[in-house]
Amino acid sequence: MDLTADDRAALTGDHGEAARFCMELMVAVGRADDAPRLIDIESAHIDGCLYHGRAGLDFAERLVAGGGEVAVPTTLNVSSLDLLHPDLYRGDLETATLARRLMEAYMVLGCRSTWTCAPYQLEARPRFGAQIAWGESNAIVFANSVLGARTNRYGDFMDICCAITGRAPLTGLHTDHGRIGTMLFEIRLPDRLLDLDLTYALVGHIVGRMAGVGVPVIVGLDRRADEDRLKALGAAAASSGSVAMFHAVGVTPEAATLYTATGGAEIGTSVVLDSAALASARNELSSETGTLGGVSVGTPHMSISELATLAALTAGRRAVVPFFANTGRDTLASADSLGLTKSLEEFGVTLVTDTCTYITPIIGPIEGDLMTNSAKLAYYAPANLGVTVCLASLADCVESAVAGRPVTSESPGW
Amino acid sequence: MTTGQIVERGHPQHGEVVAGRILALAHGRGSSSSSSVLAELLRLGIGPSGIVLGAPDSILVIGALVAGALYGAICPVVVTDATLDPMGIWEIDEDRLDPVAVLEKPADNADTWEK
Repeated sequence: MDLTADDRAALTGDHGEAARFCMELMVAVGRADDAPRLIDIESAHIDGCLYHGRAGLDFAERLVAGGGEVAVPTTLNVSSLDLLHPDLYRGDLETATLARRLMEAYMVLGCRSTWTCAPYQLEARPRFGAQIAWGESNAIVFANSVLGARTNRYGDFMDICCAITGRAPLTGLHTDHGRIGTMLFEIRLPDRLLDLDLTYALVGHIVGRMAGVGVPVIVGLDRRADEDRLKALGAAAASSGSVAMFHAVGVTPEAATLYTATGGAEIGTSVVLDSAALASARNELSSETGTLGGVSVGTPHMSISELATLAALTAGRRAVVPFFANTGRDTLASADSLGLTKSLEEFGVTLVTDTCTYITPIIGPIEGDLMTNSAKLAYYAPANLGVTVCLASLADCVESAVAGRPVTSESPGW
Repeated sequence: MTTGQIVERGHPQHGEVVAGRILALAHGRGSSSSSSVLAELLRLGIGPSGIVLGAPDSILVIGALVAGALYGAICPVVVTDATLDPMGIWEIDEDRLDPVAVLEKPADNADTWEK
């Protein structure tokens, strides 16, 4: 792998011990990936700030001790704690203390305390073509697919190495050929379903499961696939599979035509996504028992438009079961100034920031299913939280919360 | 995670423990937090003894490298293009094994990181 003079300087410790360690790891990973060289990156998003155990903390504190400092604007993913609503946390104090230390280490390294899994919903977001190093599976797929920025699937440790060195190995999705579509999916759905938020999560779940490490190309979506829906699709695909980028022909920026998305290549048999496929995906993700214990939405974090939609659905009504909505603190601030927060809280929504209900103990024991419109949460919650889940549209989540039992209006005849 | 058990719903080896065993994966999947999780398992001494991949996965590679650097915990990660039949027996031909992602220098307090 070719290294520049600057790369070598970092390796010999000219930029400090933390930079040396990070560059050493970067070179090793770059060689493992067969990268010809490293490139500069414009921004980074760190996933390593979520507490998974002592190793992550030891790593971050070692970088702090080594004088580490991020070289590019760097945002932080969700952590284990909601710092704005600390009383929501139901876990043990020791974990919370260690989680807090981890968050602080990343702040000392110069990262912005954004604490969101949806950094693409922040005011500053990468432009088309920008080379970036992002962690968090749903953010990676959104940045690549919807924004046309370029990132590989950076995980914990590698994310901060990229941020501190300002470099990344030139492989995969940083390259033109790494972004070409490899598998075709054909949407054959009625308007009724293309108008429904849940559809996109289910499409994503199937696409993820079937696409493996490929770049799926989806034909048949239209302008109804807005950013919020593409977010849900990507998040689902990044959970059930390892999708880091997808094309939606006519919708996403590198897929104006099928030819553009595939680079003109014939990419083999297409998979048809019809109502039956979606119904099957929904059954796969739902483990419902028929009683409603609570609702959780906002995995990934609710956008301001989603909070506005939720406020409209809930105005003047009351939930009779716990109802959680995860969002970023920046989005919450916007919601506050728009008067949405007050309206949501009157319905009974518990707004959670900085973290997510599926990764940290906030929901607590519930009697019945956890209902959600998120395929990602449905995928992880049974193992993480020990709950049974029921997948439904946002509107049905609200109706159910009001009724105190599952109301799934769109399910017959998927 | 502290038990080293596979908890993913629907996984064919659900409930099995990874500690001391070789993991064979066609490719990595899902969460970009797998690096921390692997490093933590190795720190606790309940991680896999090694990982065999059908395709490069830098998420797992860096988890193993960091555990090696911080704690001297060894978990070789091997990428092969052979068909990964879980019921088969593989022989590793040392002459054809190409160590690439190895830290050049040992970390403080860790045992020498051998190529």
